[in-house]
Amino acid sequence: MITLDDVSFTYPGSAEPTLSGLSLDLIKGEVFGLLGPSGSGKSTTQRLAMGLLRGFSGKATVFGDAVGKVSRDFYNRIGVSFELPTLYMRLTALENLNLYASLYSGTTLKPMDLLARVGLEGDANKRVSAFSKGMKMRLNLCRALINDPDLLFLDEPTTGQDPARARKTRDLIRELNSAGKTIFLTTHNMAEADEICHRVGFLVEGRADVIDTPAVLKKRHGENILQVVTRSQKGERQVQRFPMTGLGENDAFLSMVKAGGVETMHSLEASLDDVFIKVAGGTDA
Amino acid sequence: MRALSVFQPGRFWALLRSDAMSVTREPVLLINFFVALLLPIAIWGARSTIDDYATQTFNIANFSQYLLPFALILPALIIGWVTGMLLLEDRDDGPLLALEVTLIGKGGFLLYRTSIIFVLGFLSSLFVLAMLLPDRPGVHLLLAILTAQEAVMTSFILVALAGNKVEGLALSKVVNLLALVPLLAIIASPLRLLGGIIPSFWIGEIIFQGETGTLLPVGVLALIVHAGALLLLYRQATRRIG
Repeated sequence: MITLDDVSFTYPGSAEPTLSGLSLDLIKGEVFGLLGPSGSGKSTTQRLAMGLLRGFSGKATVFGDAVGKVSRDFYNRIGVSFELPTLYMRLTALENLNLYASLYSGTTLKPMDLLARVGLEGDANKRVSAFSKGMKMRLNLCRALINDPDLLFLDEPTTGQDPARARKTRDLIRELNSAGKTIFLTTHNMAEADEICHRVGFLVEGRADVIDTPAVLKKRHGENILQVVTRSQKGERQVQRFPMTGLGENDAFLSMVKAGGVETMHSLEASLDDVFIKVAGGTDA
Repeated sequence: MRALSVFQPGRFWALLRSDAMSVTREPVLLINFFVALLLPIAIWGARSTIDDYATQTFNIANFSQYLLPFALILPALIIGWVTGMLLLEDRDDGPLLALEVTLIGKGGFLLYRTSIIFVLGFLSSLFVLAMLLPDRPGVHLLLAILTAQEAVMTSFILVALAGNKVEGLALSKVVNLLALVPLLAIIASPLRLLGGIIPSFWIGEIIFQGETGTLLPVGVLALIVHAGALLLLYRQATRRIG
């Protein structure tokens, strides 16, 4: 769906390249998460794939066509939810969606249906200037969906949303993916990426050398160990670790289980946060 | 040219309706426009009173004619200011970015906005000219075209030079001085032509000197200077909005 091959890009006036030999493939039907520290070039990568940046080197194609040489009809097939709200503040939510719907050709989705999907149907006739940031981001998502695109670019889609609402947004992203949409998202939220992305890539120093499924990355960067916490009848707490390999034949482990008193049992694969810190470094720019 | 698809009736109407709603929901923008139109209406209504007073007090005959360029250009500058402020908002609040990923793109949107500014500037100028320069209908079309370009230029100046809406407000004070530049044309010396580097000078030149038989070359020069300034400002504005 999107192929970037050895792509480099430097913003005018900048001494350092933002992207430096970046290569990645976005497969049709997947949710791909591009992760990395602030300023690492995640949004730049998305904008380049949308055809909004000129002057890059390397090869970039979307839907099989070279980026920068596609006609404007290309924008009928993509939807973009930018990191910040991109809405008319004096217009209502419904007026915003009606306006943007008029700027595409072909069939567009019904604004009220979209607003209902993000829980804003009761706010359809409120001016956007009265919305919270989270509400604006939900409306941003509606705007990105208005032309029923095949490919969605989502830049930090749950920014400003409380945990319950963010969960609903993640559910919506999964629904959209189930309906056949390919999704290219960027996020700082590793738990979110872990939950909804089929594959993730870590963008560091303009390259994404680490790309895989969250499960494989967590296993690769973690320990293949099971940690068990037990509590004896006297109330003493004990933490024990067992290699996952041959666990069924590990006498010490089996004895402990038979003895009872197991409080918790966790495999020690890395979290995506751990992978991020190992791959991208521990400090955020 | 997908950008031209902005002129499809449904699309154009949707953009126009949104702009109209945005302006009517911000009273400051709306009031400014009508206040600017009040000046030529006031001059038209009180013309003989103004002329009599100026003659008796300052010994200046036909004083109201000197107010004409100001009354003509001010509404156009205000139209340019209102639409320029809307463009600054579109840039700062993000809609311009979202428009870039639609069929019309930023180019199509700028085309739409420019055409609206031009038409409004043109119509307001014809309105003012019909009131204040009724005896020279032959120059109405030329003056209305030039004044409409002043409106477009004002909008581009704000986008090209202002970093945000506050800077836009401050800049508008300076831009309003352009309405005084045509008064240079009342100077009899050929040195007045040095003012020709500023486009609005030529509006005064046509009003004050145009009856001396030099209308054709002055009109051509005026159109060339306006077109050049417009192109320059368009480039600066588009560079600023990316």
